[in-house]
Amino acid sequence: MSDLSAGSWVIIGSSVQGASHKRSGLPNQDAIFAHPRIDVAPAMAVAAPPLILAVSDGHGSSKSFRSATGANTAVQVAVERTKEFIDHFQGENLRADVIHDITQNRLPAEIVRSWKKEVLEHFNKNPFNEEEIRKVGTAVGGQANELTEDQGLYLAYGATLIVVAITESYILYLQIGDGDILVVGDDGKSLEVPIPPDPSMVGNETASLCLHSAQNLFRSSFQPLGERLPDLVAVSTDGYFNSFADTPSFQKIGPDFLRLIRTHGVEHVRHEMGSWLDQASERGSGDDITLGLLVRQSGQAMQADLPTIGFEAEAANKEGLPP
Amino acid sequence: MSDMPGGAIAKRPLQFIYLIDCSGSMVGRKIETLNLAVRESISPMCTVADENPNAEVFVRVIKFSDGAQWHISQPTELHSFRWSDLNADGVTDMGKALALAGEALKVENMPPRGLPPVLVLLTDGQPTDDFNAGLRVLLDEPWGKRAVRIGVGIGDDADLDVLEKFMGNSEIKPLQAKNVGDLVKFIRWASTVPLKSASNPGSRPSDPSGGQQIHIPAPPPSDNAADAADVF
Repeated sequence: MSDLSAGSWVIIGSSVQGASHKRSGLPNQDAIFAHPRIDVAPAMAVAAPPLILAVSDGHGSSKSFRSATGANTAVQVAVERTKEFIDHFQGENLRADVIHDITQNRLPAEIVRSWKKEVLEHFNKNPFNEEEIRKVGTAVGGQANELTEDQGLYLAYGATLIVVAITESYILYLQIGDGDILVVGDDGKSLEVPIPPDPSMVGNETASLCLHSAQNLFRSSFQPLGERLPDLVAVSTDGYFNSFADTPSFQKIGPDFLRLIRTHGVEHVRHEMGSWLDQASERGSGDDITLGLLVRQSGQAMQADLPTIGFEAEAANKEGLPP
Repeated sequence: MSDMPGGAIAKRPLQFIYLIDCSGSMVGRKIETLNLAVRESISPMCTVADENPNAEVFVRVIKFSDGAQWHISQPTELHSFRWSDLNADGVTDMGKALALAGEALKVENMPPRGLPPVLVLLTDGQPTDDFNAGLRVLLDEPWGKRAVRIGVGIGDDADLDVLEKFMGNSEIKPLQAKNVGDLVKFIRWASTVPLKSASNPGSRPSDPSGGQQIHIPAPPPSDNAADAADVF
């Protein structure tokens, strides 16, 4: 049994441009953001709870031509809204099922509302050009020049989102769209998938923040603490899963990353992470890949050369909102 | 390199299936031109595949006339794919061909990490069996519904309405090859351009108004000035 209050966690993150995007000149349309903030990829921060990590995958299709901005917006508003929820209910001594209900229902609605508000502000400052209007008009089959808050607008910014929040009393997992969360137990081997893949989605189809019913398309998992704690939580966009031959080959990353951290130290893994993701994309899916790791700090798992908490930086995806 | 986390890395598989009308009306120049055009499309298909080394393309062929059968049943890696000529005889059991493709695209036969399949349907006539029943079998399969489906009509008797239902695409309509030159050109286009789009599609939201179809660039125009001797 572990004592969370006595320990702290390390957040490592990296986001790489996909091999196919390099060939075609497209930017990285993934994004990653965390509380406490992490520096540009490969990045790291050390903190005691609460910790929040978000990754997002911009759709990247021709109709989602602003999805890099959509993804960057998603991770930032998700971390901000989640932090507000955690802070708001901290100390109220609510039952776990009440917190679960609130985070499952109200938090997704707040995230979607904030994302659409930010996207609309970006659109108002940066209206579509003629080519973009044509793409949106084709996508929705309507009058593109009349689009304001219509779905075609949001489709241009379409993105997925995964959020993991670790507090002193629970771990929350939230997800809309594709991507993966893997949890490795404190034995270093046992593996959990808190939100299983959605079997109704095949190919490149995904749920998305841009859909009308987005807040209802979130899936969630809630783990009250006081039980055994995970040693590692891995959160990734689907470009990583799609780079492996099969599901067991992908899921092996969880125990492997933990073993590498325990063997070589977190600094080594942080240094190599971008190169590993680049290789996976090059030889695998060709897609952008973003990976965030939440690693529970212990004498066995970590080495001493860790940076201090809380340095300020931007999300790994630099295609952010304009000032 | 040996430290790299995870198991085996692999390209994403993409299934490409030709569905070819071998009914009696295809006898002569139509089937001869089709055999030649598909054979000559393999090299440009390989070029497209080489431009996206993150996709691994597998090709199969269904033929239909009196019933539907696999002409090439084993998913064959594109660079190893060799064409063997088809002959024509019998009726046009197109619905059975669609059902056979639907069976092949069942979720249990397809890895979840696969790219959207590409189906190219070539026909000069009208279905003689229950086309709608076959289409239902295909579209009831998640991968069949999400496949890039291209229909090419050969000559004036091809039923473009059923090809349009097969494609279910609001952006592009079935191609109609009215002469030898058109058929060569359209088979080459259908074998390469949708393949390129499907091999690097980006994600798409799962909402009908969010665009169910992968965007396919417009096909080339028909050659209306063809030599009369080449007109089907």
